[in-house]
Amino acid sequence: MFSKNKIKSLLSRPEFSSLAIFLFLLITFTFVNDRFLNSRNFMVILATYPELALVALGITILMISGEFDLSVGSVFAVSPIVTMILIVDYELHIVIAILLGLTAAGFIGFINALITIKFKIPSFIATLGMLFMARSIAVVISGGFPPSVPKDLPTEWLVGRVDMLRVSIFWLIGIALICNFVLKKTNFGSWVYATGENPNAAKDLGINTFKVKTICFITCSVLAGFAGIIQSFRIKTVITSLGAGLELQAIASAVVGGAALMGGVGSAFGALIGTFLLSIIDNILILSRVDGNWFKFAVGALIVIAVILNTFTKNTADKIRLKDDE
Amino acid sequence: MNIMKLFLAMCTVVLISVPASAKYKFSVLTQVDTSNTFWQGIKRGMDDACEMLDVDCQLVFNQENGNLQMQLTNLEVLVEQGIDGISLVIVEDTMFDEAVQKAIDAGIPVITTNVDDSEGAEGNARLAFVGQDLYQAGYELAKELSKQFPEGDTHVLLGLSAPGQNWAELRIGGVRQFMEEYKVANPNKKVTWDTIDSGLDTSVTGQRICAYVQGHPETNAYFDAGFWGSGAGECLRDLGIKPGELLMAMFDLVDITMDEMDKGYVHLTIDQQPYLQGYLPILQMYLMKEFGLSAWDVNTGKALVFPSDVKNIRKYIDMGVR
Repeated sequence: MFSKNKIKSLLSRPEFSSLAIFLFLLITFTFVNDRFLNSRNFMVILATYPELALVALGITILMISGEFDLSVGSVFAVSPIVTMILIVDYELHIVIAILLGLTAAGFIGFINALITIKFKIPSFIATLGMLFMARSIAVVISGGFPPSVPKDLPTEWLVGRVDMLRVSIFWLIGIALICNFVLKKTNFGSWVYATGENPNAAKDLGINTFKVKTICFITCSVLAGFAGIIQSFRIKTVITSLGAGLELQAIASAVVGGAALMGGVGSAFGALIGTFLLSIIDNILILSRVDGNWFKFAVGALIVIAVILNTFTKNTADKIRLKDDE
Repeated sequence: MNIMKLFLAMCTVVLISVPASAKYKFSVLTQVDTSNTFWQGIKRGMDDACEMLDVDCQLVFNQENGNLQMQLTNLEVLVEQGIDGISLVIVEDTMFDEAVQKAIDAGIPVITTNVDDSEGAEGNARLAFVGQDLYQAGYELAKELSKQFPEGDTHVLLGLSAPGQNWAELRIGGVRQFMEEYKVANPNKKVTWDTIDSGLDTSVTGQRICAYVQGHPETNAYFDAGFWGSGAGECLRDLGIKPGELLMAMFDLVDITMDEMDKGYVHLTIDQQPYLQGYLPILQMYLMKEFGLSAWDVNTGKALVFPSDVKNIRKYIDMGVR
């Protein structure tokens, strides 16, 4: 009985299937390619991982609350452009400029929330509009040519190297732990899940769903903006196309990590695993010398497999519960 | 009431922003969206020509990057409106044939810019092409970089930024053509190459190049269909790869490419001079309308740029004209 409950609990975890696929790929490909499981390869993967994972983390939190954000790719560009303009053109201190860049991102999140909730427009549509508007803002405020990242800009505390790793990975770990704590251990976390699972029931329980969703929208945008700043500091350039198409990748990461499109399901850990799985898949395809024309097919197929497995494990967990009840 | 006032104010802004004195109205149509850095250089050239000639110009970006049907619809609308001249990009060989023919039949001059029908004038009724010979540019890029290939076997990675789009296929096709010839010309060397979908994002492309190179350390050189490969500099340094250990060649002049040339990680690029691709079609269309002159082809993309050229070129990049 105890072991059955344990299995059920394990299978019920939203990130279980992606973790299983991840371990399967890790073990299989370690035998197939001797250059896969080495520190140099993981150094390459982990350099960009925090940026993608931060966006997926924000999307996951928002999806748990039952909403969606397609504008994260554009916010990913707006925030570093605002930051860099403030640093180069207005000579603001880097920290103040970053905070204002994140404020701009947060403001976009707030507008998304306002349009979605007050006008009762599906977030898919509201944030689709914002995707275009924010990208346009990124081009307009920079005149198409954002300022160059100054060579002497002190960015070590954000993207510097610590042996094989980038400092940004520690920022990700810290932020993910905070998000996990908030989601799992606080009242607000419970409200997020309740709002996503059944907003009307949540309202009846006295939860201010408008406030909950607004905070989730703002968090999602701020995390996307922060990720954009990290990336532009790492590659030492800001271009208006930063993050183009990132929204679909982030949503895919969240879904592969177990977040449900209908809301109420997901976890911070799942977002990290989902993003890592997609990064590993990308890496495996490159190392396997998969022909360029087949690349997107392979990524797409693996996403579908991951989600099918998610559904399968969830159904299996549900069946175990039914047997217990009998 | 307030919404009505806002609407009227917006209409007023739109109306006063259109120069009333403009004799001609020209439009430039692209398949990319506003975020494309390269196209800002074309826009700068177009804006300067339009200001100088006092004509009314509009660069019509796509709402969705690469959506050719959207671009075709924009073209058809402009032809119906009876615009005075159209400059456009053709990245697909048959889709625009009918609409361009219709424009020409209606007396609207059409000049392709940046990317042309792969069959040139035989494949489309457009009057001239201002841009780079993409296939030839890829060939020249590979030919020039091959002078730096090390002794012994050669393994090359080709970054096909956008599989299926003819600009990327043509450029990498040109590189491949040279590699075939190089292989035949060097029978004692083992010459091999792989092609990956390198992507259209600096960070993604950089990561894919580094993942490949660390997995295949025999790689000597990398060719990118665009400029995105410059994003590999950071992770190559992370991997401890020294400048020159991996030869890299790409297209276009952007900030990050110049920086990596300074650092020794990008060894060659081809400047297709986007400013001219915006400027010259407007000038040609003006001359055609004003003096009945005919259009002429211009190959804007022969300029090979080496790291030693960066210092002189950078000031023009900062001005947004190169």
